[in-house]
Amino acid sequence: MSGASLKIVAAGPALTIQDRGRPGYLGFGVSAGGAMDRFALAEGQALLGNDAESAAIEMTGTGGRFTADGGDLWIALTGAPFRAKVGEVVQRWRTAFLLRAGEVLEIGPALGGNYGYLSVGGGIDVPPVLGSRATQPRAGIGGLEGRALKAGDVLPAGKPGNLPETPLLLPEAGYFGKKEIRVIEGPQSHLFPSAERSRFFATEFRISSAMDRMGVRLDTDADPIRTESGLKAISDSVVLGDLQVPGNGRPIALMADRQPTGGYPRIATIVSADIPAFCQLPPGSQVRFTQVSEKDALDALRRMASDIKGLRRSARPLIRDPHDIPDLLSYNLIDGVVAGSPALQPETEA
Amino acid sequence: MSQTAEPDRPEGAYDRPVIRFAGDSALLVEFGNALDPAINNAAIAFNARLKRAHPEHVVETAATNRSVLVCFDALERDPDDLRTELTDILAEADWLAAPPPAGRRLWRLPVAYGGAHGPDLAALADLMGMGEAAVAEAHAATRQRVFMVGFAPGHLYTGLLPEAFDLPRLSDIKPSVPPGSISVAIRQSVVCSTTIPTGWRTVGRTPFRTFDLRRDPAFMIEAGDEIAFEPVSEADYRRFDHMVGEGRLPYEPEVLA
Repeated sequence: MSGASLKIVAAGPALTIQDRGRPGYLGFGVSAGGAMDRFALAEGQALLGNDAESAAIEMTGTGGRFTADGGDLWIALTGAPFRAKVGEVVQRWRTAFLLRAGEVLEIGPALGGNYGYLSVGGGIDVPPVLGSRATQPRAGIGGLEGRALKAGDVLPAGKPGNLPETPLLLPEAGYFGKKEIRVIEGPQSHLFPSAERSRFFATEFRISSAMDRMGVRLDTDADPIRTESGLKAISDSVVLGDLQVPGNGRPIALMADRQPTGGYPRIATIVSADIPAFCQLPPGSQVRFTQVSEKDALDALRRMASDIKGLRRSARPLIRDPHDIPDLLSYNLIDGVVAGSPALQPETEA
Repeated sequence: MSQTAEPDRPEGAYDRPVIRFAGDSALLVEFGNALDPAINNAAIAFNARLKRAHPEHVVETAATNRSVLVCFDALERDPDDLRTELTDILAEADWLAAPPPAGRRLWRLPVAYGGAHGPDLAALADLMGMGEAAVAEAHAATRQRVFMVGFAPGHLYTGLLPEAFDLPRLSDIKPSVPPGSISVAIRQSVVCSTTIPTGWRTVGRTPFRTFDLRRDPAFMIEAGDEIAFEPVSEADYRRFDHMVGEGRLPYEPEVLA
């Protein structure tokens, strides 16, 4: 299979190559970036036996059409489920399947959640930039020419890794649709009056449609969160998951491609272990923030790391080859019946 | 933690550095809460010391205006243990007395002020009660230091400008300014190397790019370096822009002792 590439036949608006990110350049204004949902990225790597450093395609909103060019490719689809089929055969999420040379994988709109991952056996093998293949389109760094993918792009696959003998099926990880997101206090929490902090934790926020890899704007019907620091604050470091409160009092959660410094005060920081759950909340989702201790945050991170390590063990062999499954679902797919359709239940997590 | 200054300390400097969690995978070491060269020198010197000390499982560090962010692998390194190591290193020196970094460089950046290059210069001049030319002259007359690189790749925060430039950011953020734009607020300038949104007032533009992936290393200017802005005509701007397009520098930097 060496020499095979994944060719983009048609691209959704936000397909980018992502990996675990690019630490090391923060002092030059580059945040680490990388996949929004690291857990889902790791699931794809586990299903295909890829290295932890390997890159995949992150899809937002809708996928695109992809074909195997110059050879067969093993494919795994993880993260937020999207409608997917090869020819008339529906492809399951969280398993691996062989895309034969010339076959077209068609990935439609997301059925729940925000970020889906298309991984290929051996990983997407574009040249790393500043030590990583992760794309930061705003900075023009990484991926393919520092930009989102478009029709006609040809992405070489790396050398296939330790592929399981039988395709595996991973259980649902269960973090989709989480309504309580854990946070810890940060270096600037004390800049908010304690009554405002209490109100922040009591407030139900809504994920707004203003969201991307840089940040997620939160809406609420409650009064804006008051801050004392204004337009003359000194810019300082921000980190992944920071909840910054600009002058209008509507918090913005800072995500993978955040600016590494900012002048707005941060009221709290989402714990690392809840970033996958938070980033997958679609617009309109209700969310509350719960304060935990640093120790609880680290315990949760350790549990997530151990879950990632145990992915191969938690998977079970896929009994039937997806190519043998009769085409019972294609009517629904073409007809536009989406999340909630019983036929698609195993695939929908939202 | 006290924010009151001792007689020999700059205003806004903390009596001793404060270490706090910034998320569960970083510790922030803060030296003060003011824009001040001595506080900034402390951050830059401590960051340089950390790079030499190489604490185990520290993934990356970055100096800011007034602090150092220490990102660590929380699965491998106990944060209390890292905090102890940082405290021990902090005890080695009076960081607020640290000199600017040896070997820092002076960069001359040609700047076209006003017009399409500096769309906010006219409004800024009104606000400051000065003419546009006088504002440009005052901006360029002050040799500045790079307090930090942040916000976007190669995005410089320089200062300090004269008191007259102690102005707030704009309340409306401009959706985009082009690479090379130079914008001011709170006695600082920011110089961007990529297209960015900004709430700062844009006074001019330089053809120089401190971030360029065609070069190795891709980044040229570091925190602690110094900047001399040099007003140039539109014709010179174009000439320098052409040079930069060919991968050349407008001026070679000068190493300062």
